[in-house]
Amino acid sequence: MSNTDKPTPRLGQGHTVHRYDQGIKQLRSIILDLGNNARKELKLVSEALIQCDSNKAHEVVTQVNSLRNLILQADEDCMELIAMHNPMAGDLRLIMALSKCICEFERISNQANKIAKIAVKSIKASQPSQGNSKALSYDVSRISELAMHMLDLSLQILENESVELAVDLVQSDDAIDELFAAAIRHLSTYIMEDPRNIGQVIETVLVLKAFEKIGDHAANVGERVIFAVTGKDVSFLNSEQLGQGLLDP
Amino acid sequence: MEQTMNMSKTTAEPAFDVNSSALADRRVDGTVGKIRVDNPRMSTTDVDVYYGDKHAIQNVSLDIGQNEVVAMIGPSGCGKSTFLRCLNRMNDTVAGCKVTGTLLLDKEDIYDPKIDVVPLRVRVGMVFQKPNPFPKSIYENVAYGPRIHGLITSNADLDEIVETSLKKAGLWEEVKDRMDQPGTGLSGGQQQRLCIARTIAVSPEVILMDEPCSALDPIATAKIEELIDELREQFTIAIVTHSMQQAARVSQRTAYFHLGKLVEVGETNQIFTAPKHKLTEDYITGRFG
Repeated sequence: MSNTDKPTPRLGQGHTVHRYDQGIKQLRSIILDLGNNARKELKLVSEALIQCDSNKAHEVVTQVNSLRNLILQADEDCMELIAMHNPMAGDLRLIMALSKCICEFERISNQANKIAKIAVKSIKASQPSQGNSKALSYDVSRISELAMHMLDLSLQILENESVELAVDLVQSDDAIDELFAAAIRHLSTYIMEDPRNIGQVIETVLVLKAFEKIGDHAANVGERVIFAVTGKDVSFLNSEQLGQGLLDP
Repeated sequence: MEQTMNMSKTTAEPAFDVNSSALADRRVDGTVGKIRVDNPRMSTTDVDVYYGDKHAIQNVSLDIGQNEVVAMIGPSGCGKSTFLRCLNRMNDTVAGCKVTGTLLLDKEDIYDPKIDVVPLRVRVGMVFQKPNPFPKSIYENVAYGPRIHGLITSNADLDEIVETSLKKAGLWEEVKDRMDQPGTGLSGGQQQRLCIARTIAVSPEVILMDEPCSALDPIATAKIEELIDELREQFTIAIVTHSMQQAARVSQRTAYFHLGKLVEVGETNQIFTAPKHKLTEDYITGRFG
């Protein structure tokens, strides 16, 4: 008997019970919708900060709880799939991974809302022409771009189950951590230059931290996909161990 | 203990292809996983079984450790029951069946011509798919084995063995007041537990179970599974089951058979969460079988 004649089905496909495959397809689709909605919020809030557009930030704030129905539906689907089909091995890992991805995207959305609330307040209070604001927005711009890139990658990985891309994503978490650390060093100079900047700097730090957390959650999606596909939990591996851990039999 | 390579004696061609994934064990024509344990009660090496021209079991090596439950799973016709029946020479009764290889019970070859199969089957008892109590009283069903094998010296001894066996089988409280009634009058689940009591009455070392719950309702199944867990403290158990959930619940190690070959064996937890072989993954996730 040969296994190599047919391509290996993607996780959650090729089950003898078609209803199971349909259930997984639906669950994956809901979670991707969830992720895409979180992405829209992140994009809006990033633009709001860069363009000093409080309307865009306000739009994100008013969208709070917009993901609630998707989250409830995805949770219900996970429970139903487990109860009805008793998944094992790759199927079980996939459902566990998707279930955790729901939380990751929910938290990304929460962080985007947190940034939006700060943005609404700070944009109204600040004078965009001030040199300091422009300088501060440089750090925000860089970290928001990286967070957006990581979120895009996480959605792509969730869709195509690419372990290689997932490893790249998890490893890029170090980059956003470094960017955050560099921004903190940068911001501390503003306080030293003029202590009156402290309020604005604190708000910027909170924003930067929220973007850094978004990067963490996106990287977690990569870890969940690696677990679903390979069966190896890489949550507590560092970047160097990551590639090595996956090559071990 | 080292993972053991199990190469075919008869052909250099791989009998089945392994998964091409970089993460799969790349061994060809062998068993993935640890086939040996540190404290084997039974140890089999290169077992082949033929039914006439049909090569039913091919080159299977597997240890069954003391006080562990080993579950054997696989699609119908994969050879799991055939392998189980080799462990107490039940296949001897099948015309045209030939068994080769080494099968040891406590390091003693059970296929040695000098071995008497009757005491062997006392040491390696068996519980079948369908409850098969003798058409005798509940008491006699359990007492029959110890009596016929001369394991008792007095009626008091026999009473004690019957009571102890029924207690171990979790049936005593339900039947203690009607020991003289026919065993065939019990419910299916009770009959199966009576058969287990009958098996353990002769103090076996190993208990073989061939789909012991397939004819039982969920409550009776749960009682048998609970019983298997308790019996593990005293006995070594090998169970064949078609229920993946049952294998996951009752066993410490699981062996996956496919087309007469032992494809993968491993800790039950690993087999059901992250099997190494694609055939195992496909079977337990319902892709075929």
